[in-house]
Amino acid sequence: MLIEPQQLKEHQDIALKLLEELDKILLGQHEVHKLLIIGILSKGHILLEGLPGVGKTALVKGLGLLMNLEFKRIQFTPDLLPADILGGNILQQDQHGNRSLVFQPGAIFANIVLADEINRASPKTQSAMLEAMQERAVTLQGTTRPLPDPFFVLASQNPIELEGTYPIPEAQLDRFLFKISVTGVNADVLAQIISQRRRGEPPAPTWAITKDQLDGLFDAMDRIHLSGPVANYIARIVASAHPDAPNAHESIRNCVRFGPSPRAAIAIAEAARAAALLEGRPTVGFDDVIAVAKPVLNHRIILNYQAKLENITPETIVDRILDTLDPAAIDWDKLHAKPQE
Amino acid sequence: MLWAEFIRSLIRFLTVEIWFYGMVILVHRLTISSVFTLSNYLVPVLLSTLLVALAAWIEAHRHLPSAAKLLIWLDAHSHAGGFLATSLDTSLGSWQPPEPSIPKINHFHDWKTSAIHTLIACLFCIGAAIFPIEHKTQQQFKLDLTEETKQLQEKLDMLKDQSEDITEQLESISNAIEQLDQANDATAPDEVYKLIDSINSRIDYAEQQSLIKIEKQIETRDNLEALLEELLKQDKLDSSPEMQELAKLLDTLVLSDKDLEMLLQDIKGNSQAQKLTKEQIKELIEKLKKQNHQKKTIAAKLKKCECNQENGEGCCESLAVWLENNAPGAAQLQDLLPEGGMQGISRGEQTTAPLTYDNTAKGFENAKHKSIPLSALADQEGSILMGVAKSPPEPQQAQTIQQHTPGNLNPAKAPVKSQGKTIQPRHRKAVDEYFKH
Repeated sequence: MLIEPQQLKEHQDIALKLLEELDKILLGQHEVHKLLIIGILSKGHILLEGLPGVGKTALVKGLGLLMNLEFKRIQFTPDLLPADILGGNILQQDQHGNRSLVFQPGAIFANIVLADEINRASPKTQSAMLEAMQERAVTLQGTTRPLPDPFFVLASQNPIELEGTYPIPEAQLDRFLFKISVTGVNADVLAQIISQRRRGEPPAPTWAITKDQLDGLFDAMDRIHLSGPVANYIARIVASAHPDAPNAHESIRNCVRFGPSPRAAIAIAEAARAAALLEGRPTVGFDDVIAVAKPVLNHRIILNYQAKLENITPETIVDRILDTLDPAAIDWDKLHAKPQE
Repeated sequence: MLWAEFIRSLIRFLTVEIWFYGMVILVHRLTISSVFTLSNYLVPVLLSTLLVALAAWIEAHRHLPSAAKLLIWLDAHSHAGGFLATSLDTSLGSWQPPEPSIPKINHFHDWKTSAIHTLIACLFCIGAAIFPIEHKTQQQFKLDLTEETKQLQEKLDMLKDQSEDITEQLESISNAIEQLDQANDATAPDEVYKLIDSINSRIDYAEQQSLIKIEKQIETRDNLEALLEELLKQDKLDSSPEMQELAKLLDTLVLSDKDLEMLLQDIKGNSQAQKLTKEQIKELIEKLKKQNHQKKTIAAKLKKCECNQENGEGCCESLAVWLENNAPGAAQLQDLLPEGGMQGISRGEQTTAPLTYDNTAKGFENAKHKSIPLSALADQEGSILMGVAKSPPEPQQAQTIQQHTPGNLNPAKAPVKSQGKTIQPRHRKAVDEYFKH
């Protein structure tokens, strides 16, 4: 049974309010904010990629304030160690002189963790995030400690200044729901920023989502219906992004080295639910899938050198898949007919 | 939409069907019969059109996606937000799905192209039906049995006139003669002539049966006549034992002899009395004599016919004489006989044909070897040799031909040899005229 329209409206309003507040924090980045909200509703981790100064850190900090959740920031540096993130056992002496090892939680024990410039840490340190991001738990010296719920990692990275950085391994990339490119804004927005911000400081939010409202949003997400045909469409999108797929496009065969994992299909489904909620619909539509397919897949499709030579990006590949794949799986050529759009 | 697709498929399939029947008609007219008959094609065309319609219906279904797929497709392309797709899985409850905008679907097979193809096929089919074609007619594959059929029919008619008791048998033979034309196949002449022979045998058998009956009737009448004359010598007819015997005899005879029954009725009128008066007996004797004479005449004619079936002796000698006078050229029939091979008239059968031309034949002297005088050879100078003829056959004694020949209605016994000449039954008509003479 689908969620009632009135109930859905309430949750949609909260989500839209959240979006509205984010738009106030960072001007001219509505689409990024929308994807960010979708990611949060999907309980997914988000990687923000953009040039320095586009407002990535400010956005995440603002989101932390709006979400009314415990927020921690980790500045990833080359000498950062896993223990700095996860925490560790330290020797403590009580008042009686007894000494014992006491677990000191790291910065990851928070609801929202900002992993700033994540690619500056060494792979060893980055790997410390793997279990936390997927299992939402930390295991140290045989003891697994769950992370607070909800748990989000919002990471940022700079696509330039690659010297002294370590590319995020594919295994960790796959754990991010979205990879959102934060681009610059146009002159009008810049003028607005200059006139409204003193030293670039965003205004303090006047509204924050409560814990109940957030739980209500997550409950509503569970009641968004994903129909069989839409699920099938998602599955076919992911399957056709593999070079060895029977119906793979020629460019995919030639340019894609590794296709997305099944986790990508799950991510699209979850993100599409959130997109539907944001649109105030109790059902996931094909448009929702198309809207989230690119940010979900673009960091999961690993291209080869041929693609680099031909200047083909993962976004190009996803576009081709979405263009050629019929949502209803109807082979119109075989039917000797073609619909007129 | 489905009906439109059905009509579209039907037109395409009908085009193929029309092409097919056009080819069939053309081949049929070229090989079997040049005449186009619509009724021959009506049933197969109707049946195949039904099949074509069925195929078009299946094709129409195949050309359109299922309703569910169409609904999903509409959902995706009309930005319905998954409501239509969800309606396939679960109830929408209080949600109202947006009305999708139905797009137009273009078909690759447009009406115009299909119609042109169908028109071309129709023109071909009509052309195949009406195109003037001349080829050998079916009659050329039939044997010319006019003469044989006529002879059989004449013989049968003659038998019908003379024999009234075997009408059923004669009717059956008459039907067989009528069906002879249907069985006439020039490619199997042996079978055709065997059929003619069998019909002829049946006629002969019927003839014999008729003759036996007539002879029996004649004998009965002779006996009866003698008995009646004996009775006339009696003074008291009523009390004589012969009269009583006569009464019994008459009772028995009328049961098997219709002619006699009619005769008695004619004499006795309506009287039921068994016994006859003297006047009646005298009248009966007179009529019996008259009737007997008629029957003997018929029997004689029937016997004459037998000479054709016997070994050629008896009446056939007179027939030969008659043929000599009335059927000129009968002796030259020998020339038509095959020269020891398969040529000539042999009913299509492989036969040996012994030469029957000997020194007794008419005109033999003309065929004698003659030396050409030297002066004649001089005339041949400068001439061109056109060909070399076979040498004349060695004279030999005439033999009775015991083989099948054309028109021979009784191959087992005819032809017959008479007066040193072989009489061929080819001149059957002349033979019949002889009998009628």
